[in-house]
Amino acid sequence: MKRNEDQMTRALREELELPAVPELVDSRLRQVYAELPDALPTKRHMPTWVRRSLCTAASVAIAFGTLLGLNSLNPAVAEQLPLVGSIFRTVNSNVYGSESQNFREALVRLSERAVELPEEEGTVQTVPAGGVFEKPVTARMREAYYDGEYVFVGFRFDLGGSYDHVWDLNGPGYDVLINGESQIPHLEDGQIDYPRSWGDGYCDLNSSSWTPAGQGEYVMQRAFRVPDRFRDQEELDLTIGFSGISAYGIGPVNSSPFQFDLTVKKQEVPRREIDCQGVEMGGVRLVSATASETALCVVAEYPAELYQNPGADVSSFEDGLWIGSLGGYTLEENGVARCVSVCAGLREDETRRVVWSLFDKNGSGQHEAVFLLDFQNGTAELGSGEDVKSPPVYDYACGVEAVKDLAPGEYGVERLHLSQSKPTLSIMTGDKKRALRAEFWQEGERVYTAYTGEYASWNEKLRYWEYYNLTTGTSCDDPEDDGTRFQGSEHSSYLILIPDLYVALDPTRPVTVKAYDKNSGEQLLSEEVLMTQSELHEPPPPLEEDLEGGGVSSETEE
Amino acid sequence: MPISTEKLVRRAQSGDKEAFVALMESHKLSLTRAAMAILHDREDVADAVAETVVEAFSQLCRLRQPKYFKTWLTRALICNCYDILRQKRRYVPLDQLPEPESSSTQPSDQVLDIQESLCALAENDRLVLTLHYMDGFKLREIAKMLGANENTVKTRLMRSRQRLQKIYLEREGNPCEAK
Repeated sequence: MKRNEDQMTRALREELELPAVPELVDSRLRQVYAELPDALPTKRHMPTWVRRSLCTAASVAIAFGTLLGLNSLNPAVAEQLPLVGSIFRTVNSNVYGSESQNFREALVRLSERAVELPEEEGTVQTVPAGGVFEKPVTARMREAYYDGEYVFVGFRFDLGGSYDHVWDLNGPGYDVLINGESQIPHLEDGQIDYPRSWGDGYCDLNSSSWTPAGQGEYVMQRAFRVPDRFRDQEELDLTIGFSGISAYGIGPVNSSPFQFDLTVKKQEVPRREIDCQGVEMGGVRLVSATASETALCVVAEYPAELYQNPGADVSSFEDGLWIGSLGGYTLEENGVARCVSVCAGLREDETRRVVWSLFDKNGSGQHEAVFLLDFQNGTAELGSGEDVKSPPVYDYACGVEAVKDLAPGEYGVERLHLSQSKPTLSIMTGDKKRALRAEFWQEGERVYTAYTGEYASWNEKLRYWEYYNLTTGTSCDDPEDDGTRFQGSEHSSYLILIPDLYVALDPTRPVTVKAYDKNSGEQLLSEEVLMTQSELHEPPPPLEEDLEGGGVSSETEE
Repeated sequence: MPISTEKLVRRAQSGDKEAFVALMESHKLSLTRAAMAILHDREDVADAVAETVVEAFSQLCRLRQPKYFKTWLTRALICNCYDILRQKRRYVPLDQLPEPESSSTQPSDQVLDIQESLCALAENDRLVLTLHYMDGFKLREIAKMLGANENTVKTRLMRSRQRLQKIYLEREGNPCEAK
C-alpha cells in the first residue's frame, strides 16, 4: 500500500511538473521588468518619484494590459500622422519610452532628408511563414538616411492582421553588416550580446516596438550610429538582418529570418561640436559632444571603480523637458567606463542648453557630474544637481464626493494627469464597460483623440485615489489606509495612458474631454476641466505605522 | 553561491530592482505552474504571472516577514488567476464547487490517462494538488491562500488523490488496492 502511494505521488509529481517556463510568460516578464521603475517603493521613506510612478503606472497597471497598453493609442496615432513617404515621422516616439516635442520634430526633419527608395526587387520581399501557426509577411524597405555619423532605414510591414504590440525578434538573424562586417555580437544561443563589442562607437538606435499604420501595416526604423572606423565614409554597403517578428500575446508572427541589402550615400548635414577640452567633474571627463538636426551624441568617460551603478543621462533640456532618447550604453574596458548617449537632434535655432548628468545611484545617491552643453556657442559648463530639473506636472482630480455622486449610467472625468512620463486620463462611470473614443478639445478645436482599445485598463469596484502634487513630486492617498474617507467610492473606471498628451495639450487652458461609444458613436461625456492642481503642496502628514494592515500580505503573515 | 530568498526579499524591500528581478526569476516557474493549474489558456497564465509581478513590485514593502514571501506571492497570483476566471465568468468559489464525479460511475474498463484526469479536475482541486505536491505548501497554508476552510482543502486533496490513485492503479493493473 505504502509503495503504491509513493508511486502515486511520484506519478503525480511527474504529471504536474513543468519543465520550463513557456516563452510567452518569459517574454511578458521581460517586458514587465523593463517597464517597472528603477527602484521599488520602500517601507518608510517611499520616494515621491516612486510613488508617482506607482500611482500612475504600476498600481494602475493591475488592470490587464496597461503596461502594454500603448495599443490603445495607436489608432489615434495612425489617424493623426501623415504616412505617405514619411516613415520616420510616423515612428511614434513613445515606442522609445518617451514622448517629446523635440523628438517628434527631429523625426519630421529626418523624414524630410531621407531618400525614398523605389519599390522594386531588393526593397520588397515576401517573408514566408516560419511555422504552421504563422503568416507570410510583406516587408518593404522604404526610406534611408546617412549623414556620415548616423544611418536610419525605414521599413513598412504588412503583417496581414492587427496586433497589440509588435517588435522584431532578438536572435541569430538580427544583424547589421557595414561593408560586410557584422556589428552585432551574438551569444552561443543566438541572442544578441549587447553591447560588449561596441567599443568603437557603434550604437543601435532602433525603436523597441513598431508603430501601427492601419490595416495590418506597421512601420519601424532600424538605425545606428556608425562606428568610428567607418565614420564619414562617402558610401556604405549595408545589410540589415531581421530574426523574425513577434507580437504581444501571440508570440512569433513570423519567425523566418530575412535581410535587406542597400548602399547609402552620405549627405552633408551641419554638425555642431562642443569644445570638451578640460571639461571634467567628479572624475567624469567629457570626451565629445556633437549635435546635428538629426541626432545628438555625448560621450563621457570615468574610472569604473568610482561609482556604483551610475546612471548617465542626457535626455533633458535645462527646463526639464525631454530631448527624446534614441539609445546609448556604457561599456567598461580596462577599468574605464565609457558612456555613449544618443538623443534626437536639435533645431538649428535651439537655444536651450542640454543637461548631461551622472547620478551615482547605489553610491552617494547624488548627481556627481553635471555638464551644461551649449551647442549654439560650442561650450560646456559645469553644473550641479540643481540644474537637473523635473518638468512641470499638471493635474485635475474630481474629488471623492464626485465619485460618490456618480449615478448609474453616468460618466465623468475622474482625473487628468499631465506629466511628461505618464500622462493619463481616468474616466469614471456607472455604466458597463464599452469601447470608448476619448477626445480632447481646447478653444473649440479637437487636439487629440485616444481609444480605450482591446486592453483598456478597465477597473471595477475601484476605490477612489486622491492625488497630491507635492513639492517633491506627485503622491496619493491609498484608499486602503483611509477607509472612512473613501468608503462608498467604489466605482468603475477606465484609465488610458496617452504619452502624446503632454505635447498635445496646453495645460494652462481648459480642456473639454468628450467620450463616445466607439462603435455606436453615442456621446457619453462632455466635461470641461482645468488642471488647477498643478500647484505644489507640502506632503500630507505621515501615515500611521505605514500601510501594514492592507494588501495581500496581511492574511499570510504570522 | 546563490543568495537566499530572504536576503533577496530584504534587498528588494530596500528598493533594489535587481534583487526583485532575481526573486521573480527564481519563482517564475512555480508561479507559472500554479497559474496553469487554474487557467487553461497560456496567455491568461502569462497575464496572471505578469500582474503578480507588477503587484509584488508595488506591495513588497508591506511584507513584514520575508520568510512568508513565497506564500504571499502565490496568494497574490491565485487572486489574479481568479480575477481572470471571474472575467471569463466561469469561476465558482471553492466551497461551492460541485463534488467531483464519483469514480464508480466510470466504466470499469475505461482506463484514463492520469494527465487527462488532472485536466478533468476542477481548477481548485488541480491547484491544491500542485501547491501541495509540487511547491510543498502545507494544507493550512493552502487554505489561507484560497480563503477556504482547512478541512475543505483536506477533503478536496484526499478525494482528488483517491480519484487519481484509482485511475493510476487501474492503469498499472492493480485495481484492488485502490480502495
